[in-house]
Amino acid sequence: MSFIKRAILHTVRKLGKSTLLFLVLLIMSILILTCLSIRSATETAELNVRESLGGTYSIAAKRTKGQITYDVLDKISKIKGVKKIENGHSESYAEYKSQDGNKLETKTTDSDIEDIKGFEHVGKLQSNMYSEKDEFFKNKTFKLLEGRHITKGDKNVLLVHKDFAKRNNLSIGDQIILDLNEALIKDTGYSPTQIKVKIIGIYEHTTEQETAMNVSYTLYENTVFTDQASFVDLHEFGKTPYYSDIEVVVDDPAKLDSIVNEMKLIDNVNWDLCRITYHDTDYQNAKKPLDSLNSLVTISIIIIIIVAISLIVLILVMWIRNRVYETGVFMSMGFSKANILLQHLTEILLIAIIAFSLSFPISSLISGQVGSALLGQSGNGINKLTQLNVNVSIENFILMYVIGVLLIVVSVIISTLPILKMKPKEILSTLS
Amino acid sequence: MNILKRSLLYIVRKRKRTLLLLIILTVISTLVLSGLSILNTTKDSSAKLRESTGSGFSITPNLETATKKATKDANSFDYEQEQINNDMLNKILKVNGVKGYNSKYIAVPSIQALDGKNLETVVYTDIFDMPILKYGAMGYGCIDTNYDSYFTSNKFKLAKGRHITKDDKNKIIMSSELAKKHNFKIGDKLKWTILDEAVEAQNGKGSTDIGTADIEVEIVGIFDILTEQSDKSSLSQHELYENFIFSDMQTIYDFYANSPQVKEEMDKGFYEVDFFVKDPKELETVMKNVKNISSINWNNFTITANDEVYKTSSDSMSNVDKLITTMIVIVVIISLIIVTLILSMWTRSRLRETGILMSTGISKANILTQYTLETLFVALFAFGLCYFISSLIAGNFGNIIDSSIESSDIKVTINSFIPVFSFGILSILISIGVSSISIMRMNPKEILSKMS
Repeated sequence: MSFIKRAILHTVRKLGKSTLLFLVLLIMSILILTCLSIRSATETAELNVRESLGGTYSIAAKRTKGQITYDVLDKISKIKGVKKIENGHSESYAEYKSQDGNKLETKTTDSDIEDIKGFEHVGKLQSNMYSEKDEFFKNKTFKLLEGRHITKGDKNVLLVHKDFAKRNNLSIGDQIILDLNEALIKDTGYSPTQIKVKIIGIYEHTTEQETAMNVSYTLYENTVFTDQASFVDLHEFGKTPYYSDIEVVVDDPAKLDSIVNEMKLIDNVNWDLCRITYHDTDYQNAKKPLDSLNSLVTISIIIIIIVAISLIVLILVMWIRNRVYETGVFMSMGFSKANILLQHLTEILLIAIIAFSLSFPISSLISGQVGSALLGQSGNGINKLTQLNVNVSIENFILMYVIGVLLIVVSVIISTLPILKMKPKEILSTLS
Repeated sequence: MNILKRSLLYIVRKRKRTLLLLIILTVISTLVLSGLSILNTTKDSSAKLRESTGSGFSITPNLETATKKATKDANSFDYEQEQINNDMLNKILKVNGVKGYNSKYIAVPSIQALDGKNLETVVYTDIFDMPILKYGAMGYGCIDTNYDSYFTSNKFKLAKGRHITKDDKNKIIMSSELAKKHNFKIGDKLKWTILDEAVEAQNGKGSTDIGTADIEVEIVGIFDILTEQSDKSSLSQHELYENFIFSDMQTIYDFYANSPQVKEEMDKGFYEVDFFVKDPKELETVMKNVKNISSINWNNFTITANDEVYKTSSDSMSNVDKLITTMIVIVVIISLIIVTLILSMWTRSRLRETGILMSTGISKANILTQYTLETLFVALFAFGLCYFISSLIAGNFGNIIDSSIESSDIKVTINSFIPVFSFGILSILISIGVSSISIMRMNPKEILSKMS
């Protein structure tokens, strides 16, 4: 009788014992596969937490004197993990003139500080890719009253304060001139070009400016918003358009470092002159608890795998030890040791292969149930999250299969060896 | 030979089998106990994760029910409305779930050394060469700087010393830049003043709002600036983060003691108070309970929830929590099944012995009791070992895997040990009982003939 036939016969005849071993192996492999699938789902859920907390970074590039051009922005937005360029911004001062060249009136300050010469008709000039995303509008210090916001692609447009419009009798559709006077270009080397801009929106401020110690040209009332093309032309006509401050939104705040490092590989920009600031407060606050949750899962998986392996080994040892008597009989009948060992291996592998194969559909089923029963993820419009699925991956399955079979072979051999070393007579006499 | 003796003899004689069972039971119960400890820690960490969103609510005067008074330039209005006073604060703080709160007043002091020498604050430009600007700082009088928005939003971070809390008097924290400029250390004192020039400038405009001030304050903490301001050279000195000084409320009261109008404003109470809750899940309940405080006229106040961060991330946060919990539940269930299976295997392998015992006339109940006793002895020992091992694992695992978990975070508590213990015993009893049924139904002759 060949060892294979003996193995099959043993498995069939001792159906109860075979079933038990089968069940133990099946349950252990289900445990491992299901937990691994839950682990990867947890990682996705954590990624989703990070994504929903969000992260941005800003580049302060004023010192590069215009190296962050539209081209560079395009390259940045193509870096993997960058969601979008939130806004580009520059800021400076400009003198306001009417179309016929007369200087326009600005609000004077009632503070303790006298106006500085040359700044009487000057105000803060803000330029934006999207004026809506400008700090002032974003934190609701300013509110658009009429007209529309400046958006990407606008040229020669302007938003003015209600007070400034009233003071100079301006309304939407009117054109004014932005200019730089002597005082403004002192020490800068700019050769200014007058830029004619059209008013497309009027805003007002909703919270009072914090302090009375302001000079007139920093007052909210004297601030105007324009597009970047006009801003660049005003200072250096014909220069490739650029931004001084850029805000970039990323998908995963944990990847800020790697994204910024990748960005710094972009040519033609002296990144040393840029100051990069992360805006990831929510993520930073949540980082510690998130990390501990992550470690908890890792710890659990490690414990589970160690326990599963040791249980399988122990049970196999128990299995073999129960068959000392049988082994003795076989040996006395003249079966070779290799033959007996092969029989044991065949029996267990036969059972294991069925158990492992079944574990895949069963744990997929359990994982699917866990996924659909537990997880609710409201589709949040602003933060598009990564799809959360609880799936048993083929990789994990194959890995478990291979490791499981190896484990069985090794532990069966190790636990059979001491028995095989004995003589049949010894075995049969120790038994009684 | 009585049952007890028989079972003890079995345990001792069949040392290897006993050891095997002991190891198996220890391993499984360690798994379950560690699982339960991890579950507890997960609950803690999830709570911390929710808490990290800094959720809470703000109370401000209700401007819709306020009395409007036109200001002198007639462009805007002054609103007259009740403000939150200390009485109300104390009542709100008694509501369960509120962990902290802050409110602040602004002052613009000039700073001086104790001997009266003016100290220039940090500056990046030379446009503002006037005394009232040159020595100017921004003073924020806070109840608790732990909860001030500059710190909760990570713009600033305390680097040395401590935060200002409710009971402080004339204590301040300043930026490391300002401290460095004048060699200030924690424990050093300086003065907050209103310069004569500033008072005169006010008087010149016909206002008597501001009176002189000259108070001593002590540095108790130094903060680092984490977010830089843009365009620093266009900001006046008191607008620079470097020149922000946080103080306690008493400092502000003292500072404006000679400024009747400001003092009157402050006596009305706090304009806006921000409250923070422990668990944003409970925010609605907490707010409802706050609104139920009948001694406060809620007509005069607006209460707003600040939980945007929590709202956008709560689904994902609870998914993490649920997934880990499910994993542990699966582990526990499977452990119970495994114990049952192994004990069945165990009892079945003793068929021959059972037959012999039965044929010597020992009753079935007696045999069953013996088996149960044996297993229970081993199990008791295993559970003891498991408690020891789990504590050891819990104590060290955190450090090994990731420093983010402090060893004290994972605790094997008696609370999780008791269910392991009782469920363990229960599953042992059930599985021995169930697996013995078939054997116990047979008679000795059947068993022994089946054996060969």
